[in-house]
Amino acid sequence: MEAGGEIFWYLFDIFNLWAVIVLVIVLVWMFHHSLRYRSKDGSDNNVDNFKPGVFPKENDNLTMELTWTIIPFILIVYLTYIAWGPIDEMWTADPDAHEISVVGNQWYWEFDCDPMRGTADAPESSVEMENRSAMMFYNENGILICELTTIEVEGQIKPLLRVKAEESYNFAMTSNDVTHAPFFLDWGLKEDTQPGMETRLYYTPSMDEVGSSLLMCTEYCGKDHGYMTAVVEVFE
Amino acid sequence: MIRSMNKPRSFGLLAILLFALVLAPSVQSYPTGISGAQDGGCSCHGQTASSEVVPSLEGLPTELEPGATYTLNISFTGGPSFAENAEPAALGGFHLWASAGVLAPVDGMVKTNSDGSVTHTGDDKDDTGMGNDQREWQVEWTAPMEGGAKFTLHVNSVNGDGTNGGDLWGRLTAEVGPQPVEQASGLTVLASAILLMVVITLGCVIWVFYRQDPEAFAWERFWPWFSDYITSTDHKKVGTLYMVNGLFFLGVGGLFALIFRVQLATPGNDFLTQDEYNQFFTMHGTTMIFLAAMPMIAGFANWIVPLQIGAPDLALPRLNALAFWLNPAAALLLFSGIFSGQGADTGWTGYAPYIVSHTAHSGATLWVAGQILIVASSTISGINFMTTFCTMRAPGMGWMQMPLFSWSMLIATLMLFISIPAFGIGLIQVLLDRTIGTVFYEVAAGGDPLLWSHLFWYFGHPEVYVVVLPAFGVISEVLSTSARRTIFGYKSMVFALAGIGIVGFIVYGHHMFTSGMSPVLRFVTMLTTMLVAVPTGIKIFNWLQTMHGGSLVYRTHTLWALGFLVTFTLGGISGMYFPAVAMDLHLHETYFVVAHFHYVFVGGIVFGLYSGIYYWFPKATGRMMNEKVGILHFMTGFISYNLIFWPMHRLGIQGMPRRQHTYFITTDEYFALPPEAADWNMLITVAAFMFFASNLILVYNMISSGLRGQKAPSDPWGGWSMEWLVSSPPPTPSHDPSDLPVLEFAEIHEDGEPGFFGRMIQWMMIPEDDGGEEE
Repeated sequence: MEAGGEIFWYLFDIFNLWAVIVLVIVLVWMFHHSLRYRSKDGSDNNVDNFKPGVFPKENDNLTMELTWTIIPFILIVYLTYIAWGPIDEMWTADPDAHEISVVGNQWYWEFDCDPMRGTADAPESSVEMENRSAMMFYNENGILICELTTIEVEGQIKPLLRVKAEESYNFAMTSNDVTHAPFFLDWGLKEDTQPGMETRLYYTPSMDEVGSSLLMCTEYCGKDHGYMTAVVEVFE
Repeated sequence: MIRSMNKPRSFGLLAILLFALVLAPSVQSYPTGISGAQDGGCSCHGQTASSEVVPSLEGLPTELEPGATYTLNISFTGGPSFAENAEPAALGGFHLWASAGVLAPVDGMVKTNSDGSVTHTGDDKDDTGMGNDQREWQVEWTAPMEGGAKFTLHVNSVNGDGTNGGDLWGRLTAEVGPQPVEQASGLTVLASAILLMVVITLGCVIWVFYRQDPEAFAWERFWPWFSDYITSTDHKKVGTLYMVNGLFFLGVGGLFALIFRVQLATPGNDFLTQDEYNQFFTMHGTTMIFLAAMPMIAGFANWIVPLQIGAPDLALPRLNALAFWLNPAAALLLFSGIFSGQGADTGWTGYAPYIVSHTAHSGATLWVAGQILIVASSTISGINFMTTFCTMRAPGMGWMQMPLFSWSMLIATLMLFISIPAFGIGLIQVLLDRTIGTVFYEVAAGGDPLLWSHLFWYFGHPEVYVVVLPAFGVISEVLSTSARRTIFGYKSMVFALAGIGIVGFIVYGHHMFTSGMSPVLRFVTMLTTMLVAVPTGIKIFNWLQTMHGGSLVYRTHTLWALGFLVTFTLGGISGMYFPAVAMDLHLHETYFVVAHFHYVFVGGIVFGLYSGIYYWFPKATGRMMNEKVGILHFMTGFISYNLIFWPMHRLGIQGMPRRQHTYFITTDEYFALPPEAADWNMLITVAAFMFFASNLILVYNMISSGLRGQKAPSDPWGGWSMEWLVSSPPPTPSHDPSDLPVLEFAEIHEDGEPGFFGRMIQWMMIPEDDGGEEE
């Protein structure tokens, strides 16, 4: 497994390429000029005849200055353009997505596989509750698509959310007290949970992402912020 | 009234007030309250323990068996209970604490307190127990499953007259089993280190005074010399105060970082408690930005701006001193919280609704109050600089002939004016929420959970430019002078500064890509954030091209400037990853962000300011700095700095979140950080100590060169701007007001009519009917 989702790595590679190109240009330029145009004997050759209190003669070249205004601008436009595309994908809800509620609390996560139960919008499904700590949600075809149970993380009992690969999910998130943010490490996604408002994340885990990964809180929320974890597992 | 008080008395009063301010929170925060019963003893039967009363605690085993239960016999001899008890009904009492295990009574003579300790019954009227009618008691103690325990026993010997007078008490401590090794607590380390720094700083001040003229050294002369500095309104002395203040807090901020880096050196470490860790990273950020970077920049501006634009002093010298002296007061407010053990734990961003929730430490109120003073201080000093730029440029110096450092300060000040009111308003709202119960940020009462984030980042992002632009100005001066070439594209440099200044205001939304903010706003700020790269790129390419055709002289300040070009370019490039929303969703709040902004803040601002220190030190002190020590500082600093922050990029991509007390390594059960992350963190911690140590070289160099360095000429590096006209160190007033320097021109220069903005500013500044600048 690898941190960061597919879209992240796609963009990251392109940005890395351009970052390396720009960096190499700057470094070569800097080392070349600072060595080529150094004072050979360390003495002070006053090239532009600096004198205190005298505004020195001009040193500019409009063509060059325009060049390094326009070329970076084009690069920026290109990078913006390619970064633009995936946003649509990330912010578009699949109408068939299964809704999971995520609630941040100081300092624990609450998930619910079936937040709609008992309402008019509730999907055709069945929910099984095993004592108070496990919940299994089957869709109308009787396929398990969401399971909620517990797992031990460094000696503490934390929620374990199990979701099915290649099934769309729609996380409806809110908070009961202060700002939190679940970080789906493996998918490279996070979004704040805010008290008094609902935020959403949409994701369809792929078969490559089968396995469990740690979910951490990534918006500072107080004393136990660093231990506000859960585990998300994608199963086949 | 104030006039009639003499100076020593007012200083004495001030000292007492400050002392009380620092002390008050630490007294209240004592874990057992002010009385501290376990340590201080039972003052109800006499102030101090008496040697006449001899307690005894029997029944403790020599070899401790985990989980076993022991019966302990408590008794005492001596004191009024034996000698002169009038009423044999009330003979004595006891109180026993155990650090581990469980204490339990065996009969009605003993009861358990809420903190787990045991005491005799019948200690007040409502308690009908007969436990105070004897001198011997029995309790049971169950040993802990591992480790030993410590016992503290207090016994009272009572004379039975119904009052406390004449009673005596005794005390005994005992240990059983293996004792834990004493661990240094993070707060103790911090407090000792800061105290040590204060002592060293004061020692340095006294030593500098002594070394100035060792023969004529006399303590009577110290106070006049010192008070001249702390009461001065001269821009150079206030500038020095700003610099000392800034460097001191740079050290304090570094100490915070070192201590929490120790915590993060290994996964699952517990050097700091979570509470301490949260306070430490909060105070690290706050100290570095508001108490180190901003004062250091104000120090440079104070020193250099009037010299550079040919003014005798700043326009409003008394306001200048006021702006500085608000800083130490703010620092005291910010820090008094942390020494009470309840310092602000909100992060330097102080996000609401957390900051107004009951879980935030009480020190957050002090933090907010201190920040309000900082806002006031920066606003006042900004007004001062603005007025100076508008009215006190030397004859012949138009706007487009101002040296670039002055330009950068001008743009930074403008940005500060437009951004900092939002922060000030937010802070006042939070202060009201926290103190008098308003509900600006109370979500349950209809507050907007994003309001603070908007106000804060509307200020917070321009704030980054406010501190980085002056560093750009320093680099422009240093590179141009070192390369012996006019800065390439002076005009485009100014326009790029202004461009950053304008675009910098509409980008702040990229701090809130994951906050649930409106997608439209996220999208717009994605575009504008990308755009900031263009003016920044122009500046970098202009700096590089400045060296073309020149004759670069390598000095320490040149090295720092070249180092700045490398690190700031890296910081700028890594900044390009965040505006792409799809990437930011992964990188937000990870160590990639930490790496990025430290490449900007340290590699950009601190390196730029170090370059400025080496560049202007001869001007300020009249002594050249030691180049060899300077190069040692650069080499060690540059390498250790990159060792700290370069691996953080990697950790961030691997998903290590920032502001967390620990980090989790992948196990069989779940995927988290790879095992190598622990090694990288250890490397970062070691490198952090190296970087801290390398900065001590700078302090050493400044002090030793300032006292013993070669005498500096008035223009040691051959720069053109007006600070090099005056002697080193400059006289007071810096430029003779009766004979102000006139800017000359190397090329034929026609005085243009003032442009639109020039006319506007003249119209605003000098009333038509005033007839001149002199009043």
